[in-house]
Amino acid sequence: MSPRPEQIKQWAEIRQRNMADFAHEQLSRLLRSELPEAIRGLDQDDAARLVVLIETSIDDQAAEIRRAERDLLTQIPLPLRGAVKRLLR
Amino acid sequence: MTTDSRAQIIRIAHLLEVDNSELDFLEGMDSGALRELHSQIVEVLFDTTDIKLGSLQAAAKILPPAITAKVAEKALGPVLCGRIAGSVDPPLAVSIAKRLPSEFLADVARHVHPNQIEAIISQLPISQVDRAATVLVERGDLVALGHFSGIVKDPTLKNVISSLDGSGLLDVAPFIEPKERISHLLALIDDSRLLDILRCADRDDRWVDAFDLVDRLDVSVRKRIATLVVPEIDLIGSALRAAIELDQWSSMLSFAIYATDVPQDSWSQIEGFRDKKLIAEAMASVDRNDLWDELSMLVSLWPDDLRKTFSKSIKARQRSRIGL
Repeated sequence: MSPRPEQIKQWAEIRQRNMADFAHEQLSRLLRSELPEAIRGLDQDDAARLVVLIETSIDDQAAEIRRAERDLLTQIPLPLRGAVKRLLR
Repeated sequence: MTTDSRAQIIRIAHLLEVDNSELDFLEGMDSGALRELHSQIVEVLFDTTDIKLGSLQAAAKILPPAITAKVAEKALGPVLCGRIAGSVDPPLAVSIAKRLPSEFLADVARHVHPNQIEAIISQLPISQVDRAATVLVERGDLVALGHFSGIVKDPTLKNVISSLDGSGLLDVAPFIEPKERISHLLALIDDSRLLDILRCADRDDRWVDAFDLVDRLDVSVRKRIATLVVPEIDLIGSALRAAIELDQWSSMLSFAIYATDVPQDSWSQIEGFRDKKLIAEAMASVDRNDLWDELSMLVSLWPDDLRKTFSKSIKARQRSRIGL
């Protein structure tokens, strides 16, 4: 028996709600705290977009740290480099 | 969208280093929620647990400060310096920061956690902080300037204020955090400059920004503004019309009720309070926003002649609500 149109609509709503819950859960996990009420009201696409923007920022920062660690030694006079290298290990 | 909400979206975009337009989907959201979201993102981005801070600090300790400053500027860069500044021992951070050029310090100011670097800023020479503030003013970097204004000492804050005109102060005000700090900033400026800000709001049609500013002020500054503005007939007239047009009657009342020390005839000279059309719109706003108590307080400040005229312009039901 094929589902009734109202059932299809209901399932779509449940699916949409679950996806939104997932994006909000991801966002909450990323921010390590409960989301402000208004942010919980974001639809799934927007919540997911916010997750991506924050994750990108975190990744960029991590890349920046790796670059800085590499560049750091080049700014240190040769006689001191060995000691600093040992500290950074 | 309120100026405060817009400012919070710009702050979040600035923090994530994305264009403001990427956060258009946050428009219309309450400024309190956006401020909280900003704080949550700050906590995540400024979490330095995974950064090799211990070894970086140890390296900084064995190197002469001049070399550490060079490393900070050339290798770490402003973003990383800003992110880790609050986690470095303050005396070490101060000794490094003293050797950094103002432009670089201004760059770093864009990326610091304001709550974490107050101890460092407070120990830097005022002239150096002043120079960094000047760079931010010249760049028109409102977000950084707003954060910076929240942590610098009064002499620097005064210099920042004196380098901005009324329009500039209206621009930077929404970005000053914590938001209570704006009252302190306005307490440092004289009456004529305070009036300048409002005249600028009038001239440039920026009452929405001015009302937003007033909403952030504590009672003592609201009282000061009210005492200054009510006798300025043209200015208070414009504010009144703008408040009704923008449905900001609650902001208008939130400072006007503190005008307890103005001469009574100042009230009588405000044409808007005799304009029946304006009064009808104001009363509709009072009804819509349940501002009856505030209106009662305002009316209680008026001289008898104005109370009588006003009383004739409103309905009996409204008269009884405000005790006329």
